[in-house]
Amino acid sequence: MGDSFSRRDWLRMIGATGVAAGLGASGATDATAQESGFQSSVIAEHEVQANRASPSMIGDKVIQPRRELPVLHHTDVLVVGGGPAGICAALAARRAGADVTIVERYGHFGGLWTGGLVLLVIGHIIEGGKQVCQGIGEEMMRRLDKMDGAIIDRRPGVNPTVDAEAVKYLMVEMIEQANLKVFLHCWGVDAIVNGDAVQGAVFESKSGRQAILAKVVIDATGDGDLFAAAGAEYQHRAHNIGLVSRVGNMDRIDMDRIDAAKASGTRKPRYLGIHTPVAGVNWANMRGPEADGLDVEVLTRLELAHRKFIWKNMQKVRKTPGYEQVYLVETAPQLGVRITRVLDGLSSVTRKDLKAGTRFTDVVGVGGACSREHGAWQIPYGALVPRKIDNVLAAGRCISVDMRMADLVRLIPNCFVTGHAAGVAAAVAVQDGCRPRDVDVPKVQKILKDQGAYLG
Amino acid sequence: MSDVKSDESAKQWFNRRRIRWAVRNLFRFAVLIVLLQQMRSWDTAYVAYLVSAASPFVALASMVSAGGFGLMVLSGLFVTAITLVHRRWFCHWMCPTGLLADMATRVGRQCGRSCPKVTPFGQWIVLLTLFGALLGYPMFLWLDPLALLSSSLAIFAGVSGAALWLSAVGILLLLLLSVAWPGVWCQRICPLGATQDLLARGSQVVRREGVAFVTRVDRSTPVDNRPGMSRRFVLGAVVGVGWAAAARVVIGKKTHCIRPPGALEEARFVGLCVRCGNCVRACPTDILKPDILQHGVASLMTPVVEFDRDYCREDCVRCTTVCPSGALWHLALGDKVNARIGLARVAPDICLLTEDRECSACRNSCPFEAITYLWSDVEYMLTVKIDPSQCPGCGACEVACPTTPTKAIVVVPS
Repeated sequence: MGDSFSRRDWLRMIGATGVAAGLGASGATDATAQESGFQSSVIAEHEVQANRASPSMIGDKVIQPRRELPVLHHTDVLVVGGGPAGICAALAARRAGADVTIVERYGHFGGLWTGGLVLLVIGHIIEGGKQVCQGIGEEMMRRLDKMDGAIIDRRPGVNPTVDAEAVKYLMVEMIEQANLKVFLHCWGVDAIVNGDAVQGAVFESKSGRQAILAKVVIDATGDGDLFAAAGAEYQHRAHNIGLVSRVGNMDRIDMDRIDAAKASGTRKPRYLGIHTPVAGVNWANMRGPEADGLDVEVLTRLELAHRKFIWKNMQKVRKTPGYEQVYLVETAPQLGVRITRVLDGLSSVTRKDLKAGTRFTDVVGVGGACSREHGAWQIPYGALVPRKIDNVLAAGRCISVDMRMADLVRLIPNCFVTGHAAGVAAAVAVQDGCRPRDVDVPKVQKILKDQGAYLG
Repeated sequence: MSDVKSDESAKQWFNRRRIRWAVRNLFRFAVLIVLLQQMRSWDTAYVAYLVSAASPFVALASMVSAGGFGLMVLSGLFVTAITLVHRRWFCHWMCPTGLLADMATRVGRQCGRSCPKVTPFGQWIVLLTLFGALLGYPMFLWLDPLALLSSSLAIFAGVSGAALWLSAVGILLLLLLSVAWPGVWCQRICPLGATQDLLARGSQVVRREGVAFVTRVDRSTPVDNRPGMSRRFVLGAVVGVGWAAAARVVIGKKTHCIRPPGALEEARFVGLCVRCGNCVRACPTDILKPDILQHGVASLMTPVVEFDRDYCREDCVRCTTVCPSGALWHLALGDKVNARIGLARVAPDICLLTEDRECSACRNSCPFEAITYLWSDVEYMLTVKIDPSQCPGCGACEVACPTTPTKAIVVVPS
């Protein structure tokens, strides 16, 4: 990819004031570290960063000068976000023969499934108890089945519950087996765009601001950070933002004392969630108020408020007769943001289509229900593809969906399904050297089926 | 056939009568076939529903009771106009129930039965009903023969159990009566026939007094000219009005069950509903059920809405277009939102939101955007809020609600 850089590209990247800084320093890091026997020894002499093009005040405005970004990596398919959709997308693209890189903002995989402690896997079955979520998502669940204490309630027609640590471990295992290139602690902050074509993404990490160049980028950020940065059209929505917690010693609740207290009219404590694979530990969901998950002040306010509430509520619970032993195991590291941006795609997943049972020729997945209340609904490939911007596909909760279907699309199994589809489509686009919007959909469908996906 | 002709030349009449008999029965058979078309797709069914609206008895009661007339009543008025000129024209040329009753009559005659000389109940029924209609309770409207026949079509429409038996019991009794006392239904009881007699009598009086330009003398048996008709009128008026007033007090205005959209106020609805079952059969989602004594005797076999499987679709007004009596007032699609059939109500103690569960079923299924979830900082919880001005009680939320066995959101009569 570096070879194809034209002189114009180069100048454009450097900009008027920027001078490449830090490139030399990073090259020396590994060698120095190996020589030193001390953990806290000096890794490298850093250059004085006077010329690193820091933002500066011009008048009353903060201006970021143009500067060249170091290119961290080149890849075929770049998956941004390591949640259920991102993992499925990365594994699918790799299995379809592409060179894949996955980038994750936190230090673990699983997104809201693990970091958000959303342990209940709802949305993989439909009316009649049939399981529509198959493919890589189901493969993960089968692997969890074989692990000790990883998943419970794996019966036909029932929503299973997982253990977050088991899922985190499983994802590491699967990623290593698939030989994926991984970058953790990298927050995708921008898209590299030429005209309407995305060429990669920019990340912030402890290593600074770096670029990864890719032929196709899959936006599995959940918030649609990448397609939004690339200039794709989207809707910005508010949804409930809560914070999940886990509660321990649920098996030490004293029923006799509860009955006695009930007789004296003591109020039952707030609902304490449902069971998990860990004995005596429940996970307690929280819906939270409807708010803008893209506003850092909102996120901050809710994070603080939710933590205060969970702690104080637990104090109340522990003062309730019979519940004295119950305690707060943990609050989720990650705030439960449900819907923020959704893509304005070539086509959409709509409630109308669910009711009509519409079948799409470009179906790339079938979604399930919250419980068993309705039939299967098909997900068209167009719902992953932006109207205007090329080389980026949406996966997970941020695909093109109407307001009333967003609550289904965002469920974990349905994120498996859209991630799986995006991964295969990206790999096919890379192999055929075409834009994702021009991809040979029957070929994608065939590979999806070969990989075990259910397309109706 | 009931014509009893005496003095004419038997041979001459034999051929003409035979031919007319055949043609008439062919017509009535054709009408029966048309009626059965209800069981086919909606596109071809509408004409079939018009058949059960052709009764002048229902049309007149409907006009008096509802204070106007709906689209379906027009076909009844058309027939009324013809019967003014040709007495019992409807019975001879159109009535599919009459065709069946004639068959039963034949069976009865062959068994050696005959019709007793009894008072014409039919005219009493008509008078009581029409005077009752003045107060909005036409009490014997359900005895309309077309409604009785139409009701028995429930057997083709997936109605089962007690409702099925009740829907067929009217026509079965009618046929049994006709076997036991041949001709007693058509001649003495049928209110549709009696309506025609009364109408013909009225027009004959007008003719006799030379006001009408109609010159042709009625060719069948003379209608009831005995003195006492006026006494019958007065008696019919007093009893009919009294009964209707009593019925309205007993039934009251409040609805205790959910009626289809466009239903008149409860007492009026229960009175005007002919129990033909058209609405039950026309409903594409099968949510209309004949009431089998769940909501009182007055409401027996009237349609009630049950949301156990599906809801009242926002893009459908079929039941209101097939009601022959106007008990369901014809609605335009745009008026659907205003035709409230009930109101959604939440039971917060079983709603999954109180358990912080990931359920948005009612909100996401509401076609009228009448449901929002409100956040309380004090309770730290969401609660369901229903906007009564937006909720027509369609039941979509009730169907979608996943709680069992009791739904956390249900539609209650408004």
